[in-house]
Amino acid sequence: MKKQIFSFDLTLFVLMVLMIAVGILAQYSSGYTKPELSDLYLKQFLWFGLGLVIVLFIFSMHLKAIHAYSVWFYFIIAFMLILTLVFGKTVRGTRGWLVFGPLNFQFSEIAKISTILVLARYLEYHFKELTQLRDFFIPFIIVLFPVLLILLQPDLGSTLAFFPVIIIMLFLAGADLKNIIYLIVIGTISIGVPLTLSYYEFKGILSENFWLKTLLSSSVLTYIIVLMLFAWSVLKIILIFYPAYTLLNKINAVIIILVISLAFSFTITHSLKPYQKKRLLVFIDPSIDPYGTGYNIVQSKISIGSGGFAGKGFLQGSQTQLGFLPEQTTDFIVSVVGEEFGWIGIITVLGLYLAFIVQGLKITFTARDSFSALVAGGITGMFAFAIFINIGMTLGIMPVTGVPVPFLSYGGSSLISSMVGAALLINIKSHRFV
Amino acid sequence: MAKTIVSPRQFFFFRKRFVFLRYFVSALFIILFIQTSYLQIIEGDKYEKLALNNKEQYIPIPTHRGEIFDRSYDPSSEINAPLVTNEEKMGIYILPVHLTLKDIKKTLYHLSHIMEIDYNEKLGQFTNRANFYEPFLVKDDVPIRIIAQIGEKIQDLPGVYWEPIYYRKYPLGHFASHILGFVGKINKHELTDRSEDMEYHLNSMIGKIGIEKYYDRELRGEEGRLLRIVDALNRIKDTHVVKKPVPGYNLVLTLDKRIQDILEKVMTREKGAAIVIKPDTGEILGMVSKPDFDPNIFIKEPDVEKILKLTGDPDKPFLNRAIQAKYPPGSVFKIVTATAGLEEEAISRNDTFLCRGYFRFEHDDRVFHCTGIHGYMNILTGVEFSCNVFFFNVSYKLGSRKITKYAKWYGFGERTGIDLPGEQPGFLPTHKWKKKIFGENWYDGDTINYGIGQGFLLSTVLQVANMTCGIANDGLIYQPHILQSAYSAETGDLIFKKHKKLLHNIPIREEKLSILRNGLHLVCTYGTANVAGQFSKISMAGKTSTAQNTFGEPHAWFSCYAPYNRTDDRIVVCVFIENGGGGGEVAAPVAVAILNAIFKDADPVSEKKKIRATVEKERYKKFLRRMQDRGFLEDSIEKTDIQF
Repeated sequence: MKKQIFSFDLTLFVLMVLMIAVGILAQYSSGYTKPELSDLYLKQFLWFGLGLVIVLFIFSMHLKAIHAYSVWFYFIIAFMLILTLVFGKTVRGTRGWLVFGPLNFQFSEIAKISTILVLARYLEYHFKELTQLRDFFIPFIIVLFPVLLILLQPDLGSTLAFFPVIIIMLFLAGADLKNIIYLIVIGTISIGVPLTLSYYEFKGILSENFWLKTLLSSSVLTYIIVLMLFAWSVLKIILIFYPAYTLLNKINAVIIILVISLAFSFTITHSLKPYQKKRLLVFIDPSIDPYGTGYNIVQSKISIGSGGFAGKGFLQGSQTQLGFLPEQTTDFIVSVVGEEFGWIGIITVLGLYLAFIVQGLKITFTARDSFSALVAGGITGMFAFAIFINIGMTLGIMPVTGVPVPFLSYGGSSLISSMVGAALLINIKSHRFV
Repeated sequence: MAKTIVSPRQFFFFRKRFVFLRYFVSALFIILFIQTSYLQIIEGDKYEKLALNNKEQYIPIPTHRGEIFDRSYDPSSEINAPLVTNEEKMGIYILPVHLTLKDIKKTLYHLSHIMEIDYNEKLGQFTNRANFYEPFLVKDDVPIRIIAQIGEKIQDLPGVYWEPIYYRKYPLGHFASHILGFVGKINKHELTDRSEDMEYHLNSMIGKIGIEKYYDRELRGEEGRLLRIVDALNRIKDTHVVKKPVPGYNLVLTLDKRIQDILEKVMTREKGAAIVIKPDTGEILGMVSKPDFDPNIFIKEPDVEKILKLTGDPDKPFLNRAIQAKYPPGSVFKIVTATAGLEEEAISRNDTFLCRGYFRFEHDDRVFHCTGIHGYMNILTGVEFSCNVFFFNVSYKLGSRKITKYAKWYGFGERTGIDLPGEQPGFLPTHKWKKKIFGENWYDGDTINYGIGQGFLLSTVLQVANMTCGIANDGLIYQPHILQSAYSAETGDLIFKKHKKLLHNIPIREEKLSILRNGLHLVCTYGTANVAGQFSKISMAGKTSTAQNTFGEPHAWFSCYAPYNRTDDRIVVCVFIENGGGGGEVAAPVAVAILNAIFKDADPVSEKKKIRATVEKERYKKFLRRMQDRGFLEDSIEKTDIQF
């Protein structure tokens, strides 16, 4: 114990506290003139206090214990996700919050960390052994279980953040590059087909073109999937007799990739709500919804752009204070910083994040064993992607997906799971020689 | 953990991939850095101008709530008198979205000098609101003179605008108040129930009872949205309609204004309910529940004193006694027992039972009383004089389960599904239920009480009316309904029409039904309703009921249909008077007055008075005769002077 406290890594902790402080300042500013948001920064402060207790608890645990309990943790979180589906509170069509007295908690945030832990535990034993596509099956199931539970809520934004993390972990665990590319192809098709479909739907092309409509209708899609599975099994039988037939092997791989991605795109098409489709589409073509989501992006860009080099000053931003900026305490908190503290403010925030990520990568590289290296890599990747997607969104180069930015955005679940992530990183660093 | 710890950095591939990852993450941050520098430093001036000049505000455009008409509505005509309509008044709003709290305080302060509003009260109301993006109603019903004053000073009043508010108006006051209902401000509970529906928000009005509640979504239409572009000084630079308001549908009810009016007039003093239904379609022509209320007291500035007085009234004026309350049906239920007895062959047309004025089981001391000493009774006379002993015997022979079977066919114990909120299902007792509640077995005494509609059985007035529909309409019961059709308020096109829906088909043979009808006709000529029946200007068939209950005087029921001798244009009239007394003496005169008014245009009020007077006279005569028989009176009744 003594040694652990001695090797307590102050750098990461100080970076984390600084970022939370910036977040609370921004929340104070955005609640300054709006009675309904005026006490959010205090609530965030309370969440921070609760988070500190959890962080201390994680420090007191040895890495071996975390390794041992990770599976338990994973199933407890999965159970909580099931409870959320049954008893959860519905906000804007998503049943994602579990209510404990005065606290609302969203378990889809912490589910990312529990998935990272279990995935790391599995990949640790298969380090540099993932050469076949079928080796991805168990990692796939580990991820799919919580993802499906979150998709049922339905909350697409939270599930999207899982995939880059998984790919980074597989990448670090030495999976075949070819297979990783397959995975990325599957992901792209799974998202791309529903997007194209709904784009045509919004543009009204779908209802005019008979062939396109029939081809993309759900029953025809099911037939295609079944036919492809049939073709795949026929090819598989032929391969028993001619195992060296490499062209057939390649065709087989293509078919199985297509089947998986079509099945996914089918599920996603049906679980996406119209407003979510719209949000993703607005990124492709902002003219679809000039007064809805498109409005959010425009207002965010105006807020950040009008901040200029030095900003308009604390509590002085007209976009923030007069309520032009939507969702300003959660999704667009960085825009508040950008407007009131300008380029200097955003560069400071980016600098803090970069320092944090660099620290995380360093921890990944110097970790004592493959389990901790994979956990550190997964968590760092999770942070990096959340930061890029959210800040990219506020700057108008990423779609509006509803992913909060770590440490800054208001929200207990997001803050606590980010703090748990940071605590795990510090813990791994503290144990790097033990 | 692996036994021998192998650090991952000893693998060559791990080092290589790690370096790649570092470059990749750096690239992501460089992209963010470039984009933010571009937005804030290179394009900063452009966005600064945009922030100063472009302010967009959304304002809801109110829409008309649909009007409600009676069945005489003619879609081709322009002049239909509505039962419920709207009244336009001007309201003053503040849209707080681009204002600071300081601005709003200043605005409210200025407004408090122009209009009669309490600054502190309004500020309190404003700060208690949950949402900053919705307009805040400062004052409604503002005269044009004040609006002109506000218009002059609009430069000092940022965020203020005015807009018409459509108030609900019930021009006929108390008329059909339980059916039409009223609207009120939406409460938290109603709002969270409809969180998916964008048409409901903090300022919404919503139907609270009656048709206004049941068909709220159809009536309310869709609000429009207006986009206003204002500059930094809140001057309007441009407006355009983003979404046009869609008015709600106009609803046409099956109610007949004339019949409803008769019911309202005839039932002024009584506490109870009356229903008139067309049995061949299930259309409700009239439905009244007394005491009632004037829905207009809830509109505009609600009259709190009157509302409190009504809600505290022990007579419960908001209760629709026709469907929302359940009572013991009493002797009208004998129709069910008679149907079961005839159909199950427990009795035939000529079977008789002797009525000595009471009924006893063998080996049992308990005595069940009858309404009189009737002598030998068959099915016709049993119904005619509502002889309890006859029906005790029939139900004892049948057993409770068979009675329940027929009661279900007549629609007892379940909701009819009428399109009004809060309908009660009534209650049919079972052996299991009694065991559970009382811990006792079901006795034969319970069965015979059940057979005459007493005991644990409860029903709504509508269920009794519906049962009578089954008799009048050859065993077919249609679902009772209030809505006939809906029309678009913009184009006048028919949106939908309600079709009749068969609810029950009672398996009763024609010859058995005619016996029953004959008995019910006799009730109105020689039987329990003979006095009222002789005033009827149209042949009728019905059943009285004097239902004993634990709360006081018995409930008076009379449910009938007319004409008896023709099948066309039959209507069912069901009258229920809570704690009214005898069915034949109290309820039947009301029903006859209603029938005379409907078929022969008689004045229902004077008709009722006349019949009631005769009924009282006959009752007094009967009383005197009984006294005389027992030797209390010396003079014969002919000599006694009776004055009413």
